[in-house]
Amino acid sequence: MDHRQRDVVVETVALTKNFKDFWGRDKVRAVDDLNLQIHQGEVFGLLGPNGSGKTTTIKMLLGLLYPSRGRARLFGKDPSDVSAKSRIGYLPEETRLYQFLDSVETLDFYGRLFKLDGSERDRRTDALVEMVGLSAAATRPVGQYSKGMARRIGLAQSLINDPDFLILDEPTSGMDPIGTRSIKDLILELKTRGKTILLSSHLLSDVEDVCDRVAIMYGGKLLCCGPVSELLAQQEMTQVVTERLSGEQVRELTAYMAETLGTNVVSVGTPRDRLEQFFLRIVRQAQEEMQLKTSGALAGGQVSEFLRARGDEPIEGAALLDQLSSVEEPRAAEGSAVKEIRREPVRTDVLEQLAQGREPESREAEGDSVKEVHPEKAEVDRSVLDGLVDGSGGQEGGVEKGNR
Amino acid sequence: MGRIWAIARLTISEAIRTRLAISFMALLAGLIVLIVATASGDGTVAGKVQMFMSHTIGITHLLLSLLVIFLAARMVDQDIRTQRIDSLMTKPLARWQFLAGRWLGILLLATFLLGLVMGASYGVVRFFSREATGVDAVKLENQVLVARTSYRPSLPDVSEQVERIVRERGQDEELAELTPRKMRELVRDRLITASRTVGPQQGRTWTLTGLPKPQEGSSDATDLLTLRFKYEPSKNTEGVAEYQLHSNTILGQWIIGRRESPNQHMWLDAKPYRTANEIRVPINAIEADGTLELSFINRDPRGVAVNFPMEDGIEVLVRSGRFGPNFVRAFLLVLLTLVFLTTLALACSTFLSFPVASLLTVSIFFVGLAGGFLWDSIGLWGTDQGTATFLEVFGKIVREGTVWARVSHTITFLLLHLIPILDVGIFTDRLIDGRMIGWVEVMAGFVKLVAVQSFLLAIFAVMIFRRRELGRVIV
Repeated sequence: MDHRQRDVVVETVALTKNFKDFWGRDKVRAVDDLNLQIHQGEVFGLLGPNGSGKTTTIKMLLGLLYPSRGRARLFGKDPSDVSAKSRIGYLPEETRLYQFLDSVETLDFYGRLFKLDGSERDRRTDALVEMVGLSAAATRPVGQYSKGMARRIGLAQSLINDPDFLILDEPTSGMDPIGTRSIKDLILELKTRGKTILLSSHLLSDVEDVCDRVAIMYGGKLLCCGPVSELLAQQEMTQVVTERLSGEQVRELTAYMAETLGTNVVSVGTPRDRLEQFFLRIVRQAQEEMQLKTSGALAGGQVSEFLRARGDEPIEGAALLDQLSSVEEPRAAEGSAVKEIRREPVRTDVLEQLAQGREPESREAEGDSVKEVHPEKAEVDRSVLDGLVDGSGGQEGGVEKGNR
Repeated sequence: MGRIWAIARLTISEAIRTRLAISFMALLAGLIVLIVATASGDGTVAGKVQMFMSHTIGITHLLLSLLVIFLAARMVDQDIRTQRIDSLMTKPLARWQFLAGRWLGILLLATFLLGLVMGASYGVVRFFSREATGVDAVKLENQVLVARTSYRPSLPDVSEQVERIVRERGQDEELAELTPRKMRELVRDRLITASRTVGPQQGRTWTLTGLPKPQEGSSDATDLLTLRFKYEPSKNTEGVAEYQLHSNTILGQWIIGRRESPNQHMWLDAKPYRTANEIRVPINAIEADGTLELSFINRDPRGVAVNFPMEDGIEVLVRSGRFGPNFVRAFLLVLLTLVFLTTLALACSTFLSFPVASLLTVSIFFVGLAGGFLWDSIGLWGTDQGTATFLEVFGKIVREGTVWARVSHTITFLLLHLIPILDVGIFTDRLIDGRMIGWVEVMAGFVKLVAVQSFLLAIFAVMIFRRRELGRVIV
């Protein structure tokens, strides 16, 4: 057994699920001959339009549905195995909890199922309630929560056991941008601890932000599967970001590139904040400057200590956001310097090299990755993904072709 | 156990906070208050206490049975229908642990509520008993708030006489048409009936054995034994003014105790027939060897023969325990029926929706309530008055019945054997009549209802639930 094989957390082999009608006849094939492997420490995105078989796959992985054919393994064991289940956390697509319990009681109850002792349950419960921003609503019955608040407590219950493998089915469904950002923060934080995460979502930008690999399903079949960077990179183009240039400078640069390098400039524009970043900054300012109070969900605190990588300093909300937005400088951005972290540092060397007619050196040579340059994302050709989500199909592609 | 306990706690919390249990308890409390306010019985305190206990236990059993059925049938179905089960069963919780937790939680709640009601009822009974004075108090202490064991005359061994009569009179026109077996049964019945019949101005003595030996020098007037008897006359009697005898009575003399004994008690009176009559005498009438001699002399001048029916014609009731422990045993027997119903409803809910599971369980519950009546009804049908064993009856149907009779009666008998008798009135009547409910009966009930029937249902439920796909996917 090689190293990769040992690290396999999830494995499906020819996994197939047929739903039958009243008379036992096959009605729908929800999952068709699915072969997947998810490795330890990986954030894996499962994509596909409605009815593509994502949730069915997840429920078979959890032992809630039984395969019609093939098999699924969690940590090398059958999904119904209690020891395997003790290592997983699951946030269902719809948060359905006991409505008469409040947040603290809910987490305490699920903690008991993991046989956590009383003091540990209390510690984790308090930390998770704080983390998901429900401290102000902790004593209200869950039945009185909004959908987003229910999502938050649902997320907390999935983390009560500090799982090795976390399955998140549409985790940001019903959440406000703050909650969405928090979940993405959490996913990345858990990844640093070597946790494995399976993320199923319709929100492609969420998946793109956090996943190492994605698989795309359609009609129960796996269409493609591979690293996000490889699937989305447009290898035939190069993007350069500079300090602001005047119109004249742009024209000169364009002419120079055409004449000297024989390269056409495809587009020139000004990088923009993403709406998510802008929204977060405004809300944070309101919280910090106006001290506005709310009976609903709060922004949420730092990632609970028991979920953080050992030896890590606590990551405050804003700092964590900064870290997420600029992986190469996680601590550099303090406070709300959102714009700063969105911008690629000026690469004068690249311009000089361009001016000298040489190919720019890849930043990978310096230990960084070109894929971290955010403005590229706005330019990515999403026709494959969007086409699938729209249900209009899409072009086949990817590094690992699935079975069709 | 920790996980089962977590589910049990959740179950109790759910039952209380969703107000289902509270609604039932409010209804039950209201009905008990109504019973307290209206209980009168036969006008005596003893009658009032008997009526109160009978109605309270009956109502409590009915409402708590419905409560556990609805809770058990609803909770599993709700968990699956609302998909709460998704979050639950992806935790390290085996499916049997989930069912066991639900079962335990419902039963803990039911036990608490039953204990509460029974405890309150016991308090009310003691409160009522303070009102009793004189004869009423004696009756209450000796007939109601007591645990008495029943002793009956053993049936005489008439087998030799049966064979002799069959040999001598087998060719008689009356007997010749019968099968040998039927002939023997008929002769035996007549001989036994004759042994319990006393002609005009005749007497008969029965000796009861195995009674508790009286304490040395026991003559406490409050420590009494009760002779209970029921007359069945050969013909109805008319009133006779000369002897001050009323219609529908028998004048009889009872001698309780050995004739030459100083502790012998004699009693002469006219008592109504076809109804239970009681005579109470000091317990020292019992001999030191635990025997008691009973003699009856038919003194009725109207020339009527008296028969004592087999079932309840003659019995002696002797105090063998206290009311309190008897009350606890009655409580446990009610609880055993709740255990069975909870298990049944949970088993049904593993593969049926709430409405269907609860309807099915309630139907079985009502069949169980009527079980004694059904047994009597069907037992009378060609089954030697209910005395035949199941195999005998089954064999008889297969041998002699039509096809329809074979099918219908086989199904009926199988169902009656599978569905236990859940009518608590059987032992409630004994409790309020001051009769002993023994630990042996409690253990027998436990073995039958819990260790066998509930256990088998639980295995069935776990097997079904393990195979069931709990995830809901709309495709």
